[in-house]
Amino acid sequence: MPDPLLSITDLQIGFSTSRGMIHPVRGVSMTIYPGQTVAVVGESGCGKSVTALSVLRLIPQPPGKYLGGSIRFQGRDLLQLSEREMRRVRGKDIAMIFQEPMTSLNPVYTIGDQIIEAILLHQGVSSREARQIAEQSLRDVGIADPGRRLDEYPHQMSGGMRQRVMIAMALSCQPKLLIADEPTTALDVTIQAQILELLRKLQKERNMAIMLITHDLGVVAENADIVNVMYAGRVIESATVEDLFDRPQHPYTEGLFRSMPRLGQKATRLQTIEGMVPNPAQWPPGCKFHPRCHRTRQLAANAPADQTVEIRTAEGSARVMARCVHDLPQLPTSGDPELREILPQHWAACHFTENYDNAPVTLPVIEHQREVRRETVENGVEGVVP
Amino acid sequence: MSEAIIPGTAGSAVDPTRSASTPPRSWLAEALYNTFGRVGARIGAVWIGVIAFCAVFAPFLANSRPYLMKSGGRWSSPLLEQLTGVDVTLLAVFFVGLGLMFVRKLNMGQRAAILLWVVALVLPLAYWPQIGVIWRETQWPVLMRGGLLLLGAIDLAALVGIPWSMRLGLRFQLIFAVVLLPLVVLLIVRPPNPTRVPIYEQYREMEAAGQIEWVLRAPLPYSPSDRLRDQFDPNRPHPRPPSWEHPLGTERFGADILSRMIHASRIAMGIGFISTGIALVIGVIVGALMGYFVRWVDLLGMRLVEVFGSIPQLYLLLTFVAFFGRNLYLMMVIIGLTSWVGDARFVRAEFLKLRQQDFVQAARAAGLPLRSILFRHLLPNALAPLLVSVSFGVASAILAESTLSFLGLGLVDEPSWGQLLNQAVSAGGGFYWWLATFPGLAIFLTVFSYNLIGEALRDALDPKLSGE
Amino acid sequence: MLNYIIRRLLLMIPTLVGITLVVFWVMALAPGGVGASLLSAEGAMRPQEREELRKYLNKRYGLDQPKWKQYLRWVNQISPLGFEVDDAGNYGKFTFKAPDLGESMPRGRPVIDLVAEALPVTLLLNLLTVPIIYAIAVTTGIYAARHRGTALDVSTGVLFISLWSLPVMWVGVMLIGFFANRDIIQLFPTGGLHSTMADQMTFLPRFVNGTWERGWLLDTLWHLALPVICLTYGGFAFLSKLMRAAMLENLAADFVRTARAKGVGERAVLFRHVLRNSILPLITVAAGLLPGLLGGSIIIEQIFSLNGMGRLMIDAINQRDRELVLSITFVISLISLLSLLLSDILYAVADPRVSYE
Repeated sequence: MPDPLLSITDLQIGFSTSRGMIHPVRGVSMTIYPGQTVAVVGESGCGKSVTALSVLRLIPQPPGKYLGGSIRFQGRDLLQLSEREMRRVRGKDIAMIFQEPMTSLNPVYTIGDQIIEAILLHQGVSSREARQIAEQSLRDVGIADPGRRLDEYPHQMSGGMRQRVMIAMALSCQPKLLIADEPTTALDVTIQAQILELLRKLQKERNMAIMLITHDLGVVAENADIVNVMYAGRVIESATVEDLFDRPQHPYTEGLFRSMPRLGQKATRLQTIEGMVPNPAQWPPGCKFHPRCHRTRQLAANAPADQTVEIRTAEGSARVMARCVHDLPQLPTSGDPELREILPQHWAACHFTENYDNAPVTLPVIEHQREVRRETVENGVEGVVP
Repeated sequence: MSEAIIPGTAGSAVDPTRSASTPPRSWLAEALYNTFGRVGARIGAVWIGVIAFCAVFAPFLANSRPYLMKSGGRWSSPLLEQLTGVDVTLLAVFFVGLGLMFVRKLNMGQRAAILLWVVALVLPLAYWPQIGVIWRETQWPVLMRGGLLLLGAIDLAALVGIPWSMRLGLRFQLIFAVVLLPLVVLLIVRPPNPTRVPIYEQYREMEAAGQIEWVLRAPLPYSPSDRLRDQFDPNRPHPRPPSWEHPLGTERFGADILSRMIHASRIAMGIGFISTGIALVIGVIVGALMGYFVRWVDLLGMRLVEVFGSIPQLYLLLTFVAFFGRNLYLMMVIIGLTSWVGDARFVRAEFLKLRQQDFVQAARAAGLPLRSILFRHLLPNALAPLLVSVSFGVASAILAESTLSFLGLGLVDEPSWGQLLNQAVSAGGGFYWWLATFPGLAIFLTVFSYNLIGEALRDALDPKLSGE
Repeated sequence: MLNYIIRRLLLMIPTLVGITLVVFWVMALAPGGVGASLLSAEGAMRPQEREELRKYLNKRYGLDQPKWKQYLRWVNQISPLGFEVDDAGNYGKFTFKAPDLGESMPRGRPVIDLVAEALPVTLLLNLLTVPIIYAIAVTTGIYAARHRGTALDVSTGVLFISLWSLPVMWVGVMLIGFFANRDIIQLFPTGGLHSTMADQMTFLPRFVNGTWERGWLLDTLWHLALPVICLTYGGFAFLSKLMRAAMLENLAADFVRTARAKGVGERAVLFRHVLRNSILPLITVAAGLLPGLLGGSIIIEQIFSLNGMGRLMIDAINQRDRELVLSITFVISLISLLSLLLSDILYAVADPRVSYE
């Protein structure tokens, strides 16, 4: 087994606010191998963007603070690097693209200025060479007439164009890992497909790893090798994309799938997950999902009364399993169920999955790349659902 | 009618059914509460309170005439006899306002209406003999009479309309009758009638001659224009530096500076509020018209705004003064006429922004006319930000008045801070530090207070901008 | 770009006409109308002078005609493009001509000469002030934004509001009273633009026979020091607050995050990415700054006895020289209108998002 490119272990991040410290990321672990696409899925506010930003150490400090854990990239712990060393990593080894292509480019500089800035920082080339590299990287992302485009300003381009420019800028220094934070959310659907296709193509050419932050399960199905589902600042399920789509284990993941429309199924009413994402300032005790969980309610309905408790929810009250509410606290702020390998290469954090009590507590490490995609890209066929 | 405003509670309750079109009053109260929770705004409010107190009680704080004296076995009160109509009105408004603060049942609008009613009642009564003289002897009978009739009609309408529209309880009416009736009777029987040319010397002469048996004087026994004291004493030329007799010194002609400063606070407050009010009215009307009609009205209005925005305000003011002469009321109007541009721009921008918004479009789609949406629902929402501009506007109006007075183009004899400052450097090169320091400090503190309040208001309304 | 400038210049014309309207109607609507305001000084005149004034007024304003004709007449005279008028008052052809601002009766000189003498002083004062204001505002604004929320940031915030509230005339009087005073501290001259000996000075400072002579340039700067201080502090206090707010807004912008993610250092982020964007609002404000400064320089010129437009204005008002008042206001408005245009053009150059079409 080769060394992983990036391994995040038990990452904890706090933000100090006027009402005290809040904990948006509480012990996240995940691993990315070269060439892999690892999706991080979750509702907004689950901590996925904070996790992504923290890999580049772009969390503003203060108010942000790294409270624990490590982020090892090619063997080095990024959290131990000096700011100067970290700057050499940013843009060169790890690059990032963002959700809002409209505002992510500086409006007063030409896109050439902005791409060349990154190249000059990391590659030690002359500005003439840098311009050639910039032109090449624009050509790589499929922008016609790159020489002229370099002298244009961001406002002269469409959203899809700008996102291509962002990708060109991110990839101009041949990074080993690309963090894509909701790269297609702000774009039209047809443009979304083009951008994702472009990312797949470039990834294959360069054997680059991608950390894909998204809330769109369709995007996950098409692109990811590994999926990490996050809820309330923790990874609650981690598996290969095939495994996860076939056998979701955590009730939250199940809920996510039930709220997604599928072709070929009888058109019944789509289900939603009741309740709201909990507020990081007031996490519920125990498993953070229990106020919205249908599984614990079903179990509680048939369980002896001494194993259940009554909780208050947004809609009134509900009876849930006592184990979901009271658990041995792992972290000062938590009491969550641990992430356990309940099936081979399939991790989940729910007390009421089969085999949870006997499963080992290990860090999720999956070296897997799906087969389908390679063929697809070679054959030029798009959109294969695993 | 029980919409009591309790700052901090009304607006903070999160109620999803309250949209932007609900009455903004509670929100305004919330903003004010946030504003005056800040240290800066509180300091500003305290100083402005001091100035307001000086303005209302100026004749009682600094006056050459005794409160009460006994001369030749006869008691008299020269101070009360010489009060002007403005003095009486200000006092009445002040005490009614003070009383209203203890009445919980009324909301902000009702309190303002009652105060307006008191002004409408007391001011004409305080001046009725003078109005009578004008009616009989004026030179331009048609114009003046027409104007007077119009004012009278407005006044009558206010006197009848305000209490009628408020539908106050019987108890309120009784209380008001008991409080105001004696005042009304007194004003009719003994209307304020100060002598045109006041002679202050007589009290000192009487005292020197031993004719006064008992006397109670004001804390500062000098009127602002009491200038003739030992004017011609060659050993002690005016202006004199501060002494026990004159705590802040005297000005060129011998008047007491502190006394002039106290009386000048009345002019500063008056100019500040009235000219800002005029500017606000013009600005809101022009801005709203531009934002509502768009197209050529907007085009025309923007040219007007550009014209008034590009003539430097002080030059425009000076041009007005050069052609229209100097007069307190004219100055208020002129300062108002030259400072409405900012308000107009703001209201226009707000209207243009709002009419594009989805909920306005939705309301129009539902059949509400744009007019009613903009003026009934949106203008009130724009009022709170306008308060910021009022606060800064008052500051700059006060500054404009003192600048004009400083340049020797302001009021002629009425006391003004800027006019005192003007005397600090004499033509011969002498420098009288007390004439520079104290009036200058008063202008600075007042302007600073309004700016602090304006700044705090802005921060309270837009937390994004605040420093914390 | 040229197109844009021409378009802006054309848009200026209606505003200019508006300014003449306002200025003229202030005079025309004053009690007694155009004639009265100019004739009010005639009581002190000899019959011959009075006759001359009447003739002049009739020729210039056509007092027997309705007000709108008087206005058109006046506009034709002050405009560089219009009908030629001969001495008899007959209208000639429509051409370019020298604008006629009229004659100052109390001084017996053409207004345009008086303005030509006074304008350079006012412009010198203001052109010295603007760069100083911007330099201080930008540096302090950056500093406050970088140290947001610290005690220093909060205290400079309060300091700037108080500076902004300080009345110019008070500061001027206090400075001249304390620092240009024989009896207290005489650090600076009491007024004027030059020493009386300035004509004989060399331009640069030099040593003559072992004694130091400050020279024309230093002498002028020495005379301008206090006036410039008075004119600057309010402006930079205001702009610095604006700069701070703009910096804070841009520091939180997405493109700054992008720059950081590229590995750009903190200094370069600040000076290359944030600063450039934060300067933009300051350019827009520049247009509004100049009218304020021009107003402020009336007070300054009065206190420090500088013979600029402001002092000329005050003298004109005191001498009831209405013709001069009218022309000064018009010229000053024209200048601030031009500064408005300049700042618009600067903004268009600095911000690529502004389209020239």
